[in-house]
Amino acid sequence: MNVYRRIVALFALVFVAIGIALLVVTAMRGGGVLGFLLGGLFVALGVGRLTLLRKGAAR
Amino acid sequence: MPSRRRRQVELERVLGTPALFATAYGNVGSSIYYALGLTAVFALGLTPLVFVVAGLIFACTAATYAEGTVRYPEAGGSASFARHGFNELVSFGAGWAQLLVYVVTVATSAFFVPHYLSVFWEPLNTNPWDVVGGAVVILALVTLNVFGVQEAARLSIVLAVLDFATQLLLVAIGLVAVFSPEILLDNVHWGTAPTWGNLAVAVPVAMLAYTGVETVSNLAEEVRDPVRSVPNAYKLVAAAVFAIYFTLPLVALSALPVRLVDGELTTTLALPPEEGGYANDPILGVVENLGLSGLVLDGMQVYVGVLAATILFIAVNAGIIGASRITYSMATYRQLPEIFRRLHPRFKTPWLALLLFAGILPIAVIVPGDVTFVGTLYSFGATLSFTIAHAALVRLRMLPRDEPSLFRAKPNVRAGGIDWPLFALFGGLFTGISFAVILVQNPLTRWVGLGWLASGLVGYLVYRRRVVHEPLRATVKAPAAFGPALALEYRRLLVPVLPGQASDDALDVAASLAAERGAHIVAVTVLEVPLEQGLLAELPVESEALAHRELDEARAIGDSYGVDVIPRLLRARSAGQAIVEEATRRESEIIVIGAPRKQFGRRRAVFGDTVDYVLKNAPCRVMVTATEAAA
Repeated sequence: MNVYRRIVALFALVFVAIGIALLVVTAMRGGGVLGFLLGGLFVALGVGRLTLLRKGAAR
Repeated sequence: MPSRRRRQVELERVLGTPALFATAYGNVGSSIYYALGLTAVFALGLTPLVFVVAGLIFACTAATYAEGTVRYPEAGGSASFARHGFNELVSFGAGWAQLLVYVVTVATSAFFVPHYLSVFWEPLNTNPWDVVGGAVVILALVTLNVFGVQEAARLSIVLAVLDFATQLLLVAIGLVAVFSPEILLDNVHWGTAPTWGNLAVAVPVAMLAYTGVETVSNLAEEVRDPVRSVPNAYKLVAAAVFAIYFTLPLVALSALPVRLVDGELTTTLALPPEEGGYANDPILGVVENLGLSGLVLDGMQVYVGVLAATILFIAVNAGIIGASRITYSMATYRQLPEIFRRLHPRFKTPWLALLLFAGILPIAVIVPGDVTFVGTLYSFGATLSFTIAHAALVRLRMLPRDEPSLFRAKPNVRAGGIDWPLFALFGGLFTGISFAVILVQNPLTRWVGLGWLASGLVGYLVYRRRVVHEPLRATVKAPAAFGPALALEYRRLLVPVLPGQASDDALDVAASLAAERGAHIVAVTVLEVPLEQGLLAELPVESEALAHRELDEARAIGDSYGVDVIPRLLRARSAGQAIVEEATRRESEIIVIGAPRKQFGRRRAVFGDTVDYVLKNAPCRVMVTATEAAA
């Protein structure tokens, strides 16, 4: 895995971590559409990028 | 000998993707330290949303710059794209707008350095001490640059990584300690706080957060493999920007919510320090309101204050270098008088360009001490420059091309035989609208900005008509050497490298020439791609690895002479043609090429096909060296 792919993977994990943090904090503070929406989007972005990275590596 | 040299430097492949990314993020990441407060002045509770919208426009702009820079890997950014897409007059407009951006970037970054150092002495956060402090920073760095100080690339990279990590840490602490979706929704009062007019201005002002998108373009000449490194670096910058710029405002507006102050809905993020706000040091404001206390808070304030001041200090220096580079480039294309290319007889630096565009003008911008004016003036220059860049890319896609495109940014839609770049169309539309909004909404910025453009255009017209005697739209280049630079006859040497002793000998000759004159060498190796494959097709790993080894070796040879070697890997159908094109594009003054002598059948040829082609077609002098054994 070259340096570029490692950094991309790191960023994807950062997005997932931010998303999970948003979801957990929102749930702990009584919910709210905005928090869940943002959290979900960040997780989806991170997971999506990781999936693309894996598909790219498989090719 | 070469293999020993190679071992010494094989880990020093500078200006690959990671180095480009770190340098660019060092610039882009510095702007959050002022852009957050400036944007909040206009956007109030909608600041996070405005950063998302500006971020999407930034992504489009980054895609345009990535494709444009791969096509034309040379300093100049939008001015260079406009030259190739339109003509010299449009190129001048883009370059002049970009110069305004550099002037304001230097001013803004310098103005905020004292604000963050106010953790040590509070008066630095307010007028007149911030103006004095900012002017001192500018004067100190201009003086250092006139004396010829070099940018400490490694230090910049370390600081960029440290900066990103610190910003992530603030986001993490903020999400846990203060993030509140409820407060964020309560912050929004549609049409009232912010008003629709202020919301419209907020988007172009938020683009201030993305200062530095040109950095990668300006470094493109020193990138080893621009086809891969440039787009990848832009993608990484976009990802880093999304991670911070989409989250930090959420934390900031949760910690410093919109509330009623003296009968007006506002946030302390948007208020000046005299009114108890943090507009001058927004990130310190966030730190203070994260719920930390005692020694942890004190330590965090000092750490963030010092880090921010250091990052901004380096951003000032990058802006100064950018201003001098674009001035030099504009003078090279006879857009500005040659006096701006003239080097100081002793220090060999463009002292007049540094003094005027990176010293006097930025100080004039900060003297009024009005941060809002500075922010909107930046937006004026940046939105105009970006709009021209997008338009130029669309135009370039419409023009017929002889050679296949090495990189095409996405998304595109095909119609009428043209791949229309949706990112450039969308980006150009919105940066154009943003430019119009700034023109309409801010009278002071409108007149100062238009005055800047008008004075530049009048100067260009007079210079072209009276001095250059060339049409406004014609591309004309200044002679290669003049003044003290005349002594540096071969300042730009190009050496094609191939495995074998012939290339090593050529490099030895070139390095000794360059060492005498303090010049640099561009070492070029060409990966010839068969016609049946695309230019970006995966080639055997060994051939790429061999090419990289040869470039490492070239750097090692240069290193042993104390000469800078810029390695460049090219993909092309024909090595000779690629070498000639690279020499033309770089305005090389001499090509030094090693000649493996070959024998074809009964006919004895002196040189191979590549050397023959270079000798016949090179735009400059060619020196052919041969190995002793062959001679």
